[in-house]
Amino acid sequence: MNEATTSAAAPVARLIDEFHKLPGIGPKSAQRLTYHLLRIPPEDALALAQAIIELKERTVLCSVCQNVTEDDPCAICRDDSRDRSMICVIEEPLDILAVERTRAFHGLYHVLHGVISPMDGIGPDDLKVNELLARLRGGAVHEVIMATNPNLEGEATSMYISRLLTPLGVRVTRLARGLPMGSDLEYADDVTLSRALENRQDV
Amino acid sequence: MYLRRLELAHFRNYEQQELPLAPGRVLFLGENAQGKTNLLEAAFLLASGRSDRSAGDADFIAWSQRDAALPFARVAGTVASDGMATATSAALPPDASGREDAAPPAAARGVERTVELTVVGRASARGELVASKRFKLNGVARRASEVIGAITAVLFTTDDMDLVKGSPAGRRRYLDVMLSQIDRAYLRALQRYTKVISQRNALLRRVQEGDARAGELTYWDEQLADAGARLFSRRAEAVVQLAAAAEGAYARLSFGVEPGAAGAAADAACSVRDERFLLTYLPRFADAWPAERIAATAAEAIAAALLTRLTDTRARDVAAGVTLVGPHRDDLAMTLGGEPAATFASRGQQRTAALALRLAEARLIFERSGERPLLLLDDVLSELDASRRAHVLASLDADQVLITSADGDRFDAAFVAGAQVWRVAGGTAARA
Ligand SMILES: [Zn+2]
Repeated sequence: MNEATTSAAAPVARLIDEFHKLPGIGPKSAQRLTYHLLRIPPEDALALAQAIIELKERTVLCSVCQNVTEDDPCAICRDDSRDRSMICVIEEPLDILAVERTRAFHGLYHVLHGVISPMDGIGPDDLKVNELLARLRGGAVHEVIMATNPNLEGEATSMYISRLLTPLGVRVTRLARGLPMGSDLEYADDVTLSRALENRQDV
Repeated sequence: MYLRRLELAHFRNYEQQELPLAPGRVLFLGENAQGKTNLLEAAFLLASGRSDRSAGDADFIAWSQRDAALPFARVAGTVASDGMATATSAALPPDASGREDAAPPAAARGVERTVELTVVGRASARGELVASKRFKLNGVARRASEVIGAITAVLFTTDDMDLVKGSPAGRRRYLDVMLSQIDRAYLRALQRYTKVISQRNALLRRVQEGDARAGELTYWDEQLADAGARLFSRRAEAVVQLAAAAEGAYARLSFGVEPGAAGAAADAACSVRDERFLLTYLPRFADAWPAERIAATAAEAIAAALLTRLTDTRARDVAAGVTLVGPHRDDLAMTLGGEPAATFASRGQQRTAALALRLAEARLIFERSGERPLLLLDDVLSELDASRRAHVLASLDADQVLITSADGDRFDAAFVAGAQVWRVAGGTAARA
């Protein structure tokens, strides 16, 4: 508890502390949000509180893809029009939204809920890896696309999973790394540029 | 190259400071703790992205900013070069096989380059200020690895004797700071290697405690071998060049002659032979892989051998909970007349050896990049006697030398007359 909260009324101080625990919220923002909530109509504040309660009470992880959902299985896993032979493996539920926005992928997803990072005490057993293996046992899946982030931990995770899947006879691919569309070659950073060269294609 | 302009905002004890600088000798004179060293530190940060003076980046932010909504410090520097020495064109992308070449930052080879570093602070959950660095090169936001080396610099400090008699970590830092400025692929491998070592060591401890399987090490072993081999290979290559430059610099500083000189300088040359300064690379790999073999082997083959070694010694690493081989445990050996310089040399010889190492660093940067680095001399001249000081000044081959000193009057008149002189007091520098 810092100086700003010790002099405030106890409920105010408590909410400031709760906000401060959230990612990206510093002490100043925590105070601003708290005093903002003090000023809004009670029904708006209750609506926010209710939304938070429902978030915890009315969501579960989809038993198929591990995405956060209200109904199990989730809407994507229930959708018969989706291609069940392809699974796109991602780190976090938010990544589904990113891929869905492209409208370029019509298969199913699998959410790992993290990446391998020994420094943070996270190993393969802490991720939804066994759930992925279980999904492949039926033999209906022909391709798994690894869409983890292109950093050390994302690649460690992708590599670990690829090695588990390859003996199962599933095709394992990963996202190509290249230049963002609409970007200027001159301003591309050279890691991206050299990756794009590695992943070059015939025209 | 020379620093044409240096600007500081909220950096350490400077609020707003602009310094238009001249090529040649620039003297910053003033009492201690007034901010002379901060100016050299700022220039060195722009070149290397590093400072050895602070525990965290938040230290760069002036106290006046601590309660600001967005506390920050900013340093910007513009270097100019005469263009004559621009030997290598680095604007080429890595070749199609994906191999990054050893060229300095792309598109950074104009006549003028401006590097800007902003250190942005924010309060952590525990209420203390934590900071992160953001770089711009010629006005465009870039990652650190693309900006480091756009300005090159060598920093001489009174702690440099630690290079000779201190721990191996200081000697590895010496190699890293130098090579990072002239070899972007080295810097990138170093950044990756550092992360891999942290992750692998954490995993070794988890395996030791039964929280992870040894098989999980495979990916980290491969990454370590790949990045580690690049570091081994480039260090081995550089130290050969560096050793030759350091030996010559030591002889010049001590005796005013080149090793192997004859005729009139024969007596001096004799002393040079008795006091030869030799620098050798000691890679922490395996007995079968001394520096010469590493230097003569392709990085891919070194990586394959390192991977085998990591696999063979895995049980030992697990037991120790740390990675026992690899460039993070490298060292440099230094001898004077065949004896270890750390234990047998006098203080004066050690000081000369340290200066020789810095001069060799400047030489290597010049040979590799085609441009003379900025030389930053932080208080090092005041501790030398008149004759060594003269030798040092005669040995400096640079377009610009920035020198701090607490005692300007001890410089002879001719030296001061040829220099641009600044007086530094209370976080302000003014032309004298
Ligand atoms: Zn689902």
